Amino acid sequence: MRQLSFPSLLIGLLTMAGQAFADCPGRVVSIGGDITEIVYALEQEHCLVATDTTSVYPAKTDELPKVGYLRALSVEGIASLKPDLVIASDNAGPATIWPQLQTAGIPVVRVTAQTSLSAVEQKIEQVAAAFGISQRGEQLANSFRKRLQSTDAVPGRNTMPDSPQVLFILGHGGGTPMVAGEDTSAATIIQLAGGRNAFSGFSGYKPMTAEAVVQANPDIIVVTSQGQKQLGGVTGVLNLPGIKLTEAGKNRRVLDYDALLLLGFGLRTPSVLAQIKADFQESAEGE
Amino acid sequence: MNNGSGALFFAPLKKMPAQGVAVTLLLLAAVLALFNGSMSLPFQALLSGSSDGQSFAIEQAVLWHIRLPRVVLAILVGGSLAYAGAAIQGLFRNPLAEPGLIGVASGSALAVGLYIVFLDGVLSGYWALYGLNLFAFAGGCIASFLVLKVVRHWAAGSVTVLLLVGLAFNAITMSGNGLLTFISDDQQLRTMTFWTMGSLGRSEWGSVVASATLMIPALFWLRRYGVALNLMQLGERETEYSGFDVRRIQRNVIVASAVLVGAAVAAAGIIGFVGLIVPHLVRLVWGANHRTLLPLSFLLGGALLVFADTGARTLISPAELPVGVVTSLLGGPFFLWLLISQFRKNRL
Repeated sequence: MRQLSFPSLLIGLLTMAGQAFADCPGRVVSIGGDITEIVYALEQEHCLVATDTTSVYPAKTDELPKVGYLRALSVEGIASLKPDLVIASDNAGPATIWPQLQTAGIPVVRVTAQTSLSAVEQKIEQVAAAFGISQRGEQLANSFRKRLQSTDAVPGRNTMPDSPQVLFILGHGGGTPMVAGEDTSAATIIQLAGGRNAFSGFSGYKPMTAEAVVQANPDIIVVTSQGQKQLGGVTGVLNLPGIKLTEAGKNRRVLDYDALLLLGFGLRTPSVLAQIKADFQESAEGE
Repeated sequence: MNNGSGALFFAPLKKMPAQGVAVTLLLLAAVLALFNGSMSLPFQALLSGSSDGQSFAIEQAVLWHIRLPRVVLAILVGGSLAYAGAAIQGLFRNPLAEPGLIGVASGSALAVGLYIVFLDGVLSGYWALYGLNLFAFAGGCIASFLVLKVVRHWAAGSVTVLLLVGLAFNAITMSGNGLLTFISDDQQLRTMTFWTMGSLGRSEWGSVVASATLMIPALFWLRRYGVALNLMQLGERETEYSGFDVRRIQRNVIVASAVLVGAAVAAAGIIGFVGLIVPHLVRLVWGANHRTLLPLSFLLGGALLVFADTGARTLISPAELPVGVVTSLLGGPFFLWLLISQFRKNRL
């Protein structure tokens, strides 16, 4: 006991104060950016000993060790951190590591990997239950629901005949940029914000062809901030083949949002949704 | 006289019993691999059993159920790839031949692509655990079986034709994979990419046993063709005149190699370099007698992969690198150095 110095005692006391509301289930490894975000929102980050490379928000996650990419995890890497609990997205893998972690006596909790508004609440519930703070989870889910309601975004209700046609362009890395069809996170968020996705009739992201873009004639173009940067800013987006011939191109209506924020379907979705809605309206008034 | 450093290094090596050197290297690599990993293990306590009242349950599990099966699988996979590589190079009498030429790797890749795009997440239980491995193995074997069938039924059956048919099949499966890439989503694409870079991260005793039951019989079967492969170096006709059935040799060597490579690919994805370079390395140092070339390739292939995998596991721990990247990174420069030093020696 005498070896304990005053500063370390102080730090110890402060840490205990931080844990006053709920005790940790032990050393926790959180795998999946959406899950890590919820852990921070539940203020349980002091329990975390590591995350994965998809956990980039909040920025403080950088300080924690990374156990690799979500779908290419190393079982010994995780075990070496001696976790008492691993919370992992259903997307995480390879599948063989789960029985291996079980053999090593490390409990694992899997959380749904769906990307939709209702799945966010489910994720909150599952993460909170894993930490044994279901009540706190309920509060967070409630506040999420309230924020969502305040944006007035209800699936299927927002699209009006005069809704703007919105084209989403995914332009990561080299090669042909991709446009969003049906059943994509981009199309869902566009519809929630009161726009109409420029393309229907195919699902997923498909390479962009100039003629199809001209025919779809979008009023607004949405890109990710990262994609816009790689394409060379707004000018780069406008210079993509066919874009200049569209309404959006003629009026230089290009909106950009952070990729994770726009397509991630997480706790911050309500705020970005409100932002997109406002931007759509502003574009409409600009006519 | 100016001996290259390589010649100085290898002269004593050549006089030593080759098998002894290879076995020693393999054992060294295995010990190094067992003692290193992202988790530091208290080996004295683990091996002596005296735990001083402490519980080492996690450490025990890591050593016996994670690290050891991984090392054993690395030996089997690396060894099988190099062994099949040596046999295929012998069969084609072409030092640039590699197991990929008979369609195994690309057939596996296509089957795995189909699995990832259409079946991943649909299956459950044991199918979810081993479905990908089964598909990889079946795809590899079917592709090389088709290559062999086409060559024997519609073409003359010479090795040159075999090589060209193999190339055509590779082109077909690659375009199939291109199509799959087109219809796959982001995550499926990343899973496919990671698979093609190879990883031993999926090893556990189940996959070790499954791989061993396929590989070990194939290894012994292929070993019987050492003499025949030596004769094949003189030409197909010469082999025929010596009383060997060339078509039979061709078929059996290809079937055995397809089983070896198919099982290796199923267990660990695509790991390049080992099958192509290790046999060369053995030939440079110990000569081209297939009766010794084959087993030596197994031992050194295993040693190389164990060594590379140890690097893959520890370099960026607690995450890990794709092992295929490390094998080429380690083996490439070493092979180049060996090649240059051999040229120097021969010139002088």
